[in-house]
Amino acid sequence: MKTHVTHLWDVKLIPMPEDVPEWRVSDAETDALISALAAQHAAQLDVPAACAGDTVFCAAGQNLADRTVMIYPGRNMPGAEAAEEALVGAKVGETVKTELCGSPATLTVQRVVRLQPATIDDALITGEGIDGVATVDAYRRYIREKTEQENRSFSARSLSAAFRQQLIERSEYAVDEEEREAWLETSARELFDMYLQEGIDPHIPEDGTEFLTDEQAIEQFKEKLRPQYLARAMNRAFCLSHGITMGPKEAEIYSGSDLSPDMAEDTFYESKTWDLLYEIAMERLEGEE
Amino acid sequence: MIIQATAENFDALLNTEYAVVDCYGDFCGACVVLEPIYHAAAADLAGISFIEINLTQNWQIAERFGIDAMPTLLFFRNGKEVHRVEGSMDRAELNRHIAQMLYN
Repeated sequence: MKTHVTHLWDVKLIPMPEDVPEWRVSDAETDALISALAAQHAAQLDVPAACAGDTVFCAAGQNLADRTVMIYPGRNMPGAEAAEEALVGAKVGETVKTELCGSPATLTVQRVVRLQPATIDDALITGEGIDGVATVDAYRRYIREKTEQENRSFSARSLSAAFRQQLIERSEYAVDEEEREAWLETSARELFDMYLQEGIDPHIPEDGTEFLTDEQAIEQFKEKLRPQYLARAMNRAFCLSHGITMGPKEAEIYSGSDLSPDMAEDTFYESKTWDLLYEIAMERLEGEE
Repeated sequence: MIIQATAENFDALLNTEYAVVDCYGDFCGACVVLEPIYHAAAADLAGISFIEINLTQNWQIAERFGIDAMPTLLFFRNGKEVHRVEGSMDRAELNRHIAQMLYN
């Protein structure tokens, strides 16, 4: 690749964006996670009459193909709001005339179930079968750490995308225009063929109503691909700055998926860049503690 | 209560009047966002089987149902798929899809 980065922006200089999602879990959120576990293990108690929060099992007759229909008072399920209100106070065996999804419905209450959250104790925690977690205190630590790990991983993905965009924009390049145009032309034609092979019509315009000619469609692809050209050079420079190069073994693996040597190289460097940025993002998030 | 499915027990788990299946995968950010919302619905709405299946480990299910996005929620009535939706969503949106399975 003749086009190359003349100055690679230092990722350490990129400030943390303000909109990175919070990944730490507060005490209140941990309590909510424990309550969620209690709800998941709730016992189902049969009660004689319905109130908000219950599940009311009803026979709905032929209107709904004789299915059992559950109405959930208080949840505002779309289409069932009137039935939810009508069934509050209804007793098992009672028939209520109401409406479902805007149509008249006659519902006969078959069963009313109230969920009673389980008591969270060591026995319930042991029953969860989590390695090394047998007490409520251990579960508190476990669920907090697990959730923070998931949150941090999620935040790191969005952060690494922001870092990559900044690296592309802030780095400086020596651009070989001839090479850029040749790459855009080849890649756009490859994309055009790929669309056809996948059964997607590449002649459909992004805007406007008239179908594109082959050449117009290829021009449209070229414009879509243009921002990726500098990203290729940045990916390569970023990997090299971290001592990562594509050797014969990697070339074999990446070309094995029917990619041209150029595309295999691009895919390799892009994938490694994402991996590196993800690691950097995870470290930065941990450093924010 | 959430039931974890595999390709082997999948059909047996659908043998119920109403079932919803969260088809998720490894390294899927949107799946992580949906998970607590899905679990909260499962803990609240009795009478529906709430099932999860990891498509990364059970790719046969993705092939069989033509799933090409994660997460995908599949809605079944008496074992027959009646509705599906792709992507993460909030609880109100999830309720809307569940209502479609129950009342349409």
